[in-house]
Amino acid sequence: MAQARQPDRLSTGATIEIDGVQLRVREAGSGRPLVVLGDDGQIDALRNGLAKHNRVLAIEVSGGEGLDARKLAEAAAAALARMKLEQFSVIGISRGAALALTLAVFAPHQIDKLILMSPPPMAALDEEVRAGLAQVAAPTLVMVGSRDRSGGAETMRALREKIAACHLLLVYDAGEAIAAERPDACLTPIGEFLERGIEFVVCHESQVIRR
Amino acid sequence: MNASFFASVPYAAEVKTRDWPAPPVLCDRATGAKTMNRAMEQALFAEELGFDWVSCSEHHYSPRILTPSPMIFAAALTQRMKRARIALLGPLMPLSNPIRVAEELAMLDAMSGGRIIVLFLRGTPNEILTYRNNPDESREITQEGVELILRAWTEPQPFGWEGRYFNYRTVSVWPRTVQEPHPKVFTSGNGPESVRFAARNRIGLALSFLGLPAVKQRVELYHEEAAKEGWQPSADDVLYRFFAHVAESDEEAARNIGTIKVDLRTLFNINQGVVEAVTGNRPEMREIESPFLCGGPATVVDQIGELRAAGVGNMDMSFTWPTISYPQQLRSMEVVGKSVLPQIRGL
Repeated sequence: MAQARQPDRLSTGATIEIDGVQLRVREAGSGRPLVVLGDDGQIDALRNGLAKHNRVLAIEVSGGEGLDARKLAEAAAAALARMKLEQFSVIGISRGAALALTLAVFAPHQIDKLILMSPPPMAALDEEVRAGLAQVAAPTLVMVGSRDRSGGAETMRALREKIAACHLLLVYDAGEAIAAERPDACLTPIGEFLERGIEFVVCHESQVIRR
Repeated sequence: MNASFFASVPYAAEVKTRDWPAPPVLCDRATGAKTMNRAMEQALFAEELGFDWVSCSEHHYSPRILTPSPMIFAAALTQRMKRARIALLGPLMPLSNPIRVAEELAMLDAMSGGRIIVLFLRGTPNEILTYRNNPDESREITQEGVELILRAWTEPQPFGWEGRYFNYRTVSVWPRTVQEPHPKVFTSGNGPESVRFAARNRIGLALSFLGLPAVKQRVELYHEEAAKEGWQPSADDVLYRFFAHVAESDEEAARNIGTIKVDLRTLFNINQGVVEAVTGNRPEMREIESPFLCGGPATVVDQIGELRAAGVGNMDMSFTWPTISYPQQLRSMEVVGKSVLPQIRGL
């Protein structure tokens, strides 16, 4: 396992470097640990909403070019271990979804719920990850914009076939940047999925119009 | 050129009201039943005459058109008609659950052996009030509903939908439509924004009761917008609904029609006060002096040629007109079937 060289205590914006991979971690809120992997812009659109009920650990990954997926996942897992996180939910956005899937394949028992937003094409995933998708144990929600033209819809269909407990959600009138384009439409199902897993399909809202 | 007979299913007796809603007390129960039977016979007659499609529509609370559920009428047609396509022109999206619409249309496509065509519409302003929907949002609701239905027909895996007006966590339509990927779909193109929507989603354009210059203008815009999206519509992608009266000669047709001016708002029982309460008064609601197609066979064939030149490949004909009796409607259909349709097949 790679060795961490950065301080144990993380402050907002702290960076962990493992094997040449930089993981910049920003933290907000309190509650259940929720790791969010992606670029700053998309994470920022969701961070305040997610932080109302979760301890959000937003991680931006850079560097590590040439490292295989397993090494990247190990670096991320090592960083999360340094933060004393044993079990957590993960949201991966765009390229961050590939890393989230990698974590889910190689560390399936640490992740209790997995949310993939605008995942990249299957061809962009490491071959070992593609082959290991059946090992993903966490209930998984895949969210794609109805106007996504980057191949997100094809990826979500493929993931639905490989991952045992996988639910697909189309976010209407959004393209590839669904979190930035329709943050409120994303936060509601994400919150319900984190709370209830696949049972989020059941509606308990009263339909009484007037008592 | 495809010729469609519009089975408008008008109440089979005179009604002394133009109000909307029309009071139910004015509907004689037996005449209601007679209306349905007569409409079915007229649809079968249209198929026998060689019309390519028989269409029906959705309207509410009025004797003008007695198909508040076009699905039910279309279901009956699937069991009686053997050849012609069945066009639902169309379900009103602001009044509908789009998943239910997707399911029912898929059923109809299966029941008809893949003969269903559909036009999704907003509804006339008054009808949006039928189920107490907000008329100000009808365009946005319609557009989202159409996109959702197309997804429901084509997604191979169950999915959820997080929309602006519709929210479903589980969508998984059975049966799948017989037609692949789905039945031919049109949306209204009477307004420029709707034309852009049709082009963006690569679906057919439906126009109704406009004059020929306006038809040409909308079709040109459709082609321009489609080109921006990287595709080229054909005439098969354009549908136009209009009134028609055809007789043995121009003189006879003119005599039958008489000299009246018809305000479409009045004809469609659209209360002007309601229209004004709805944002975006409809430009197509205007006064007309005669059916769009009117005359003897030779004249009408020329008119259809102009329509084809304007880029229209499907014409949906309503044979109703305030001065035309039911027997005259049947006779007009017969002239079209025998003397017009054979001449426009190659258009």
